[in-house]
Amino acid sequence: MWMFNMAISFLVIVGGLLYCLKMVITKTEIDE
Amino acid sequence: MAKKLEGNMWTSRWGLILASIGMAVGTGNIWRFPRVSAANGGAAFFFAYVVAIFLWAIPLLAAEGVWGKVSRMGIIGSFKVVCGRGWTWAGATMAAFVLGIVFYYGVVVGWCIRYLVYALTGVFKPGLDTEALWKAFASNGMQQSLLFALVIAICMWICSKGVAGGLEKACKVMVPAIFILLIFLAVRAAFLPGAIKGYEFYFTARMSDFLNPKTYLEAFTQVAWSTGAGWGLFLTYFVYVKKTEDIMLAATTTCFADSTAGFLAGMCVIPTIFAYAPDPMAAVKAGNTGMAFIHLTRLFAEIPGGTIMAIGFFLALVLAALSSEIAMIEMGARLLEDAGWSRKKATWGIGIVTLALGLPSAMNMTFLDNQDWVWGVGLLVSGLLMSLGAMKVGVKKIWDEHIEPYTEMKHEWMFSAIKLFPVWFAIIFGWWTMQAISWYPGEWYKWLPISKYTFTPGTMFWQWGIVIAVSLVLNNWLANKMSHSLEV
Repeated sequence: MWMFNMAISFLVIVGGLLYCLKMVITKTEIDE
Repeated sequence: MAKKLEGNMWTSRWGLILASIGMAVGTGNIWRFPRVSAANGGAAFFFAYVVAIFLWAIPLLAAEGVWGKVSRMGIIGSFKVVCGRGWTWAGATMAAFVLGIVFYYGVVVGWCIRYLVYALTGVFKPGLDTEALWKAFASNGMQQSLLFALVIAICMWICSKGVAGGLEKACKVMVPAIFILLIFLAVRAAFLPGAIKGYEFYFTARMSDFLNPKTYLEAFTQVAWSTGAGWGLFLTYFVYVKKTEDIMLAATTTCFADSTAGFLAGMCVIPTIFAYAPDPMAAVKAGNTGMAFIHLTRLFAEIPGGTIMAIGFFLALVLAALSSEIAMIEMGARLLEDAGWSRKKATWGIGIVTLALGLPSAMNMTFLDNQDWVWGVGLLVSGLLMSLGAMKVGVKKIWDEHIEPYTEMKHEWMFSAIKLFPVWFAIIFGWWTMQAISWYPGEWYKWLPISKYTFTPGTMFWQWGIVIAVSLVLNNWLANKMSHSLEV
């Protein structure tokens, strides 16, 4: 169970950051 | 002559994002997040933490972004421009609360540098009495003062180079380095024999933790102290952005990067403690400095290849602390520039004031603890002022005019949540105050001598009261002084 929780925590926190960074890249490309 | 924004702004969106992440990621992510999250339910804490990011941090940071972008001035001037002259005192109060932190945080950065040097020079050897090492250093006021002066000199040098030439360049190196070091440490910790016990403890979800109000109180407090929301630092960085900059995206990215730094630090610290510490819970409950400088240092001395881990850990701590201290010095320098000072004079001015008012914290650990308590909790009040300012202007109006037209994240609720801030403030602030009252039964309202009443509610209220009273008295004078915004 703890492995599942670790995966979910990783997905939400690190995944959230990666999603935001992807949006930054996309927006920067559009601006340019 | 008014200074132009052009030539005084971030050269790219990445510069702004990295500097904002550097502002938020500090010692609190590396030595507080793992400790508090492990002691408060692990997986349940992460859930509460993400909730707190959306309810507390993102709305406040977004409001800060608007203040900076609209006014092109630091905290004090921005309140005057956005909320009206009568609100200048609120900006001054916020600025004073954050400056209260600048004055002692440089001392903390100095501790991290000293321990990095210990690690680099091979001081951490098996059998080392790490408690004696810490006590000897903590009682050496002269050494702490010299390190503090070094830290402030570094910050002044970086800030004097300007936004693009100093802050942006420094953060483009420091922030990726922090994350690379934390990933390296987390991977190294995973290969320690017994690390799995740490993961098991950290990630086991217990329903009792999800239902425990303390999990949420601790998570909200960690978010308030870690993300920099309501401190006016994000506000200061947004003075230097393009008009079309996406505030919601920058705020959300900063919050998730801040959480990731804490999460990675937890993935390093908790498995290491459970793999090697004879009593892991004693290390978790030892306080910030106790865990980092006594328990972890002892483990680094015993782990095979521990010196490399120690260097990585304390280097990450130094970079994280320094990137936050730079943001705070920049905040102070911006205030002086708003009053018409040149950047060079402003950085010298704030540097000298910081040195003078930080020395008592460098010389006396109890005074530092008191200041940490007073201005740390004061940041909750600072956030409240920001939220009240937003409600005064109109939350819907701010969203429609200054955020929505420029953002890809068109979720109005993410900003509208700022209306609920006073509720969270009342709960969190009430909880901390009640705790402090229980620490000093019958004497909670006293504040002098500070050595005896270090953590009383009285010491908070008196010191805040003085700051708020002075800010109110100086309201008009400050409103007149803050008149040199950057010209777009």
